[in-house]
Amino acid sequence: MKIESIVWCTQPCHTPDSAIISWQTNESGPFSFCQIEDDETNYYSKCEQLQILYKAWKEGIQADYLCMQEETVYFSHSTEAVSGMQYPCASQEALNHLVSWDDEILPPWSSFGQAIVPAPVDTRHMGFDTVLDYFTATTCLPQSAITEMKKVLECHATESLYYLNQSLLYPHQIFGFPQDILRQYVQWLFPLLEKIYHNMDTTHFSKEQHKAMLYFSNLLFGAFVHTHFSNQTAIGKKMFYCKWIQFEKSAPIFNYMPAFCTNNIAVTLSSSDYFAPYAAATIQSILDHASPENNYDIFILSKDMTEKNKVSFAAMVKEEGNVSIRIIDVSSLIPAQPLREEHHFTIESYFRMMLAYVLPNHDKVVHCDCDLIWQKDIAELYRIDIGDSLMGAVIDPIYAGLIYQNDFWKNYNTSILHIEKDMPYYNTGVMILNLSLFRRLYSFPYVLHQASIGNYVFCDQDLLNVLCADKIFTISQKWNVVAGATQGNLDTIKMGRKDIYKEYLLAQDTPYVIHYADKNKPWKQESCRKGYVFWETARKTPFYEQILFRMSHDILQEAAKDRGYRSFAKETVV
Amino acid sequence: MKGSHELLAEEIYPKFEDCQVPIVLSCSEYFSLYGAVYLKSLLAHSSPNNFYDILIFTKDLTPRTEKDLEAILQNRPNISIRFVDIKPYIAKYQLKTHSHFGVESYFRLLMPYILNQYDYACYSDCDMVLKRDIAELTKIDIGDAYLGGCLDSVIIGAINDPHDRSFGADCSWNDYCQGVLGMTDPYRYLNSGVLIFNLSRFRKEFAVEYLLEFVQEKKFYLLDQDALNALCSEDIIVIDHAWNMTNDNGGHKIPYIRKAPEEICNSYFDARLNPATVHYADKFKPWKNPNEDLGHEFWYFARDTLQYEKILSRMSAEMMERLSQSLPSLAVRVVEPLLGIKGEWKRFIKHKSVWLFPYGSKRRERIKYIYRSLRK
Repeated sequence: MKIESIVWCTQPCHTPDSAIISWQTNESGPFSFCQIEDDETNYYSKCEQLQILYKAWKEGIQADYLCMQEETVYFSHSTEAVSGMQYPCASQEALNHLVSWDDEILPPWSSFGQAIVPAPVDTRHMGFDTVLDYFTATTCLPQSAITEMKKVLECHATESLYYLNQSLLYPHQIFGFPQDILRQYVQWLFPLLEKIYHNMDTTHFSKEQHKAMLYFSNLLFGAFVHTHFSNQTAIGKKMFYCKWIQFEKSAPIFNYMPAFCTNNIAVTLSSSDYFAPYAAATIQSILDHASPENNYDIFILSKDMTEKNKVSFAAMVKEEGNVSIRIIDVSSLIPAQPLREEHHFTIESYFRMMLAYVLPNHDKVVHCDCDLIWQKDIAELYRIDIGDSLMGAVIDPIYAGLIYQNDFWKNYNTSILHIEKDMPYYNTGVMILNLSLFRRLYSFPYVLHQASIGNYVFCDQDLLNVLCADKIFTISQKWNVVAGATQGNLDTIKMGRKDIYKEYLLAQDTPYVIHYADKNKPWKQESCRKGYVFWETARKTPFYEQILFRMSHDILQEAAKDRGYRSFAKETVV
Repeated sequence: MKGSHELLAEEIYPKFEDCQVPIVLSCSEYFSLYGAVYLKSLLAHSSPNNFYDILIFTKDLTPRTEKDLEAILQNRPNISIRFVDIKPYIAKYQLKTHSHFGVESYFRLLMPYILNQYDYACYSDCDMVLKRDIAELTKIDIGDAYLGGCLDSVIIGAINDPHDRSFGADCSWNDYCQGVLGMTDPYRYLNSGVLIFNLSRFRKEFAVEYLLEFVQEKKFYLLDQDALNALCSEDIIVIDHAWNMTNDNGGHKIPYIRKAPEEICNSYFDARLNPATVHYADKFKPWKNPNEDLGHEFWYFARDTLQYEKILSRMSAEMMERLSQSLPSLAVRVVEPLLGIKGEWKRFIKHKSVWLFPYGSKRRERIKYIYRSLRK
């Protein structure tokens, strides 16, 4: 028995773990049995999803059983999922848990020749009296096209009109059909679609509207199922409803290649959309000190970067230059349970943990925060050989003093972080990461699990110190100098090891990186020490005026809050 | 139809023999800061081999501002800038205005009757920046057609949207264009931000009084843009979309553009990759909020002008205006005046309050505590 299970995808993405899923389809890739001639006039060339069925119609069906699903719509076999419900992201975790596909599931259906169809929904719950009303309101097709469809159905498939005029809707074209039912379906569907296509006026169709055949086929699928099921025909008796679920978006499989073949200096940052202007200043400082002999492959990990900011980042680099900036959407990797966010550690700082898995083709990167300014060529840091260490980082001088300052930190250091006395603790603001070793030692689920159970004060910084313990290469303090150390900070640092303190003082004179690590940011606080370095760099970015605008807006908002101007105070800053 | 175009004030003659097509802008004193950025971008992309005959129609530019704008063009021998005072023409024709449209909307329509010595002219709005040499635009030949312009892909998207109800439950943009504007093909709706005018044909076929009556009498939603489309749509030349490429103003435009016919949608996105202008059409301007789509193009040129700090200062000032327009919370509005009471009234209230809040009582202490913390 040849069972084929196809998941229609528009990009390489995660699908349920299963041996039966033999391939995924995507817009650019060839299908294993569908090679469509490039014929612009065929309507199905604009809706690739139909091509599989079209091929099945024209050339016959090889499989004994065909199951079709979409990257965001699946039959669910999990007791925990609710039918018809929408879930946020089709991450591997969510798919395994909610779709819960098992290789045991299809064979029983296929061997009994049974068909699975999605459980229908009632359009009245969505505010529409009939399936046709719902279709007309939610589709982007013009009334003329819908009228043509109705005319064709009136002449050639009157039983389908019953489906259109009632309220049980089959919203998605997902199914599992044995060969004979599939054959009957395509032989009924495509003659109708051809007739509709030839009568339709597509002169002014937008890109979406050109997918009309796909929308009509989804509608006619519902008509096919409804007609057979409600009349309990020979086919109808073999049909069974199956629970189905939908995801807002699929989880892409990350496969970024290095941008340059030689001398590829990989740099990563993590930034929210709000922080984009300040990340731009960091990147500008990297560009200012870049050497033309090196190639800089920069990635920004973000969960919510808007298109507008992506365009502005692209404007910072010249085409055909030696710099590439790419923005990676990692929202699909964020676990469902919230991770601890404390002090200035937000969810974005956890993106550091994902680097090894998001860049599977990179062995080494330099990762830095986006509230710092580079004063030296980042390639020099990249080229430091960290040997077999997992990461190279700077010893945190403030923490080094904290553990001597009071008992809480001393205990925290030994019992939670398991760092022995006099062994250093590292600041993860600037670090070299050995991604290939990371991948070998730790799996992504393990890392996420550790992040969620860990009770760390400094969140992912502590976690990295724990995971990489004994395998951290120490780099010079100059690579991560915290600007604007207060007297309190200096006193703390003095209490730590003497050598760390000495090195810290030296580094203050000639910093390679100025890190505005505290709450005292130069774009908020006019009195921030060494703030002028930030402003000199920010002036060169396309975001400069936005930073100024925000600064004024923040000041006014503070004043508004004090004076009770609630509506202005609540205005979101952009 | 012979037009009644009398000679008003002094005639304007082409400045350069080799350039018979002027570039006409309209600019107010308020808008001069942004017009300066436009001129800066024009200069940056100008070529010494071309000639630029710039005319600025205005009703209120001060001599000082005119000097500042002139200064931007650095006295180049191949660039001429002249200012045309429109006030006499407005006075003569008594123009009405409504809602947010000022008299600037009529400048476009008056152009053929003011520039009698020119046969063609390029009109451009000031709320944009150039990314290409505008002389190329002046060299486009529109032949005998009324206008040369770019399709308004946003409006065409609305026209193509089967669910559009912009004009009410029963009236969509499509109905409006076919019904009110009388366009046989609404898919050729032009945006009036950048237009090449066939001035001689306008003079031949429309009297200036007829034109102005036409605009003011009918119910046009977008005033002169709709009027021009209504009059001229039968005979227009569509030029490269790159000449009038709108930004995604407020994030509202691109969703509409995606609904336009595929060809037009593709031409917009192609233009976006290599625009000749970036037009900040509509109310979300990058000088009000730098976070606007493609706002950095504007600021790139703004930084180089003498008006830069003034633009920034106005940005903050307008923010302050928004603050003062927003109301303080109810509690503040009620309590503040009460807290400000002094003198006789205060003594009176204190005296009367003894009844409810006797001296030495807990209640009195509590109310005193609340009063003092509110005052802070």
